Amino acid sequence: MSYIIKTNQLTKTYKGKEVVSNVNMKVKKGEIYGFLGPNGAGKTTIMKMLTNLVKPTSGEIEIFGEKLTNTSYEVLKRMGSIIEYPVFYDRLTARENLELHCEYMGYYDKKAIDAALDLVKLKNIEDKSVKDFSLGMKQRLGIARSIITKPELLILDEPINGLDPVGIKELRELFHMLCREYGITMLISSHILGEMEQIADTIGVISDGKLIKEVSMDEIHEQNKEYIELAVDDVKKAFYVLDEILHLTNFKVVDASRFRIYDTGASQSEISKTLILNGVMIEEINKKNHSLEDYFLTLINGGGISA
Amino acid sequence: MRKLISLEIKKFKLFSYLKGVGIANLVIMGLLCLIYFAEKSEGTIAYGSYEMAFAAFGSIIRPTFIIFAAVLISRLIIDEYKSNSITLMFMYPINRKKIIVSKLIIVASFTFLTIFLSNLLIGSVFYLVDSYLHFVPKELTAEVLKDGLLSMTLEAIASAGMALIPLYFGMRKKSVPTTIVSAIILVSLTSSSTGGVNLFAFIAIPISLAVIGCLIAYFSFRNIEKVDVN
Repeated sequence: MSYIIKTNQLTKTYKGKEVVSNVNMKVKKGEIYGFLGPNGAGKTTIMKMLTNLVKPTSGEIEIFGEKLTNTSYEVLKRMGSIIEYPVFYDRLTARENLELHCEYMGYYDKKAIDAALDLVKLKNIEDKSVKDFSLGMKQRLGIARSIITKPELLILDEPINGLDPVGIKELRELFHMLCREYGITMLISSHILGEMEQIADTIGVISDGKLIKEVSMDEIHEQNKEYIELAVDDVKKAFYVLDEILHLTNFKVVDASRFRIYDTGASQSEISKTLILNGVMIEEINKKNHSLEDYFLTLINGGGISA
Repeated sequence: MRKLISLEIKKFKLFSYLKGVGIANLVIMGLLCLIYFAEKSEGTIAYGSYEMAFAAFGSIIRPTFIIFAAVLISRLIIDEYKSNSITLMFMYPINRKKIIVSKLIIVASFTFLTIFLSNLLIGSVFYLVDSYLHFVPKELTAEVLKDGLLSMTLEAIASAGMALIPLYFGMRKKSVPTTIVSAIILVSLTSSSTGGVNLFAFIAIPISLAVIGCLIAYFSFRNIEKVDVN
């Protein structure tokens, strides 16, 4: 497995206070890595270290398999980023800003600017200087700027801030498209759980400067499958009925009268109907679904701070 | 490096500053006329010789464009730090030192060129007017012209270096007012004349100030690759 970003015991201290401590994160090629954590957890500081704006107090960063040093300028060519909030030369128009960006990046594809503006759906912006843009438009322009040169790695800090629900949906689709079609690896930070859940392939949970969990979304879903919990008078009979009639096999016994069904082949009403018709008394039936939110809140709280 | 300089010029639309330079020159000419008439009304002659006239031009032009340079420093460097766009610049695959040096080259060469050309322009206009009106009692000799040109060039070079001194004060708190105020203090210290003698008259002083300016620029950005940009 090749890693695009790999940090080793990454630590940053500001005035004697550790804001990032011993972070070992690994971002795989071609995945969307979601950086999740409360405000002030150290997400931005880590991203600044990855883009060489802030220098680590100790620890190492490897990007594209090369160690990041003070003079690693070449790797920056392969990266696109928005850190904190998108910064522009306010007095220039969107197009002028993008043209400058291309010049500085050493990228000379005239069509790329229009293509990028199209992708983020920014229209009717000619002759308008960026200082008159709304936050959402600046965010879109920032994303356009970061993808214009088709980088291999995108680092986006809170890219959905300031966007309306439609915009968020459009961006989510854009991110998926960039990832699947162009094979761009993405590191996206957010404190909005629901959004992360829908965008990311892997989630890194950071709290108080520490990376407390790095887990793939698949794994989380595996652990947090929804199930139907039943309390019946005769468990054995219930198993038999469900197996024979509904062909459900994935059970887990909780105690003498309780068990869980993990199969998704039958609905709750179907199950209860079948059981009752076959003489199994149901005392309780519940559909349970661990929400991701619960999962992360326990993680973050377990990490020592209250959310 | 030339590419970087031209991008900076494009980014900040620096050619629009030429209008300001033109206006400054017109104001300076007006001021020189005013001095002439003021002295005349008191019965003295303002420009007794070309030597005196050249010195007078220099002492007005220099401070003007050193302060102008401070405005440029504010735009090119201080503002980039204040508005955080410097983070954008430093995420480009370009050596940070080169980025800063290209900005400093713009400031220094702007100062040199504006001072040099303004001196030439105002000197020529003065000569032209005098050739019709003959208000300067002494003729312009080749000797005076040569000396004038030489000292003017030296002063322009020295000013280009000196113009970088306000950078030190401005960078400490990333403040535009500090940059400009320090430039004003700098020129009022060096260009004020007491009893007809001003600090610029001893060439050693402007030259050493120029060296200080260059050192300040060097030390301000020596560690640019090692420091955090927030």
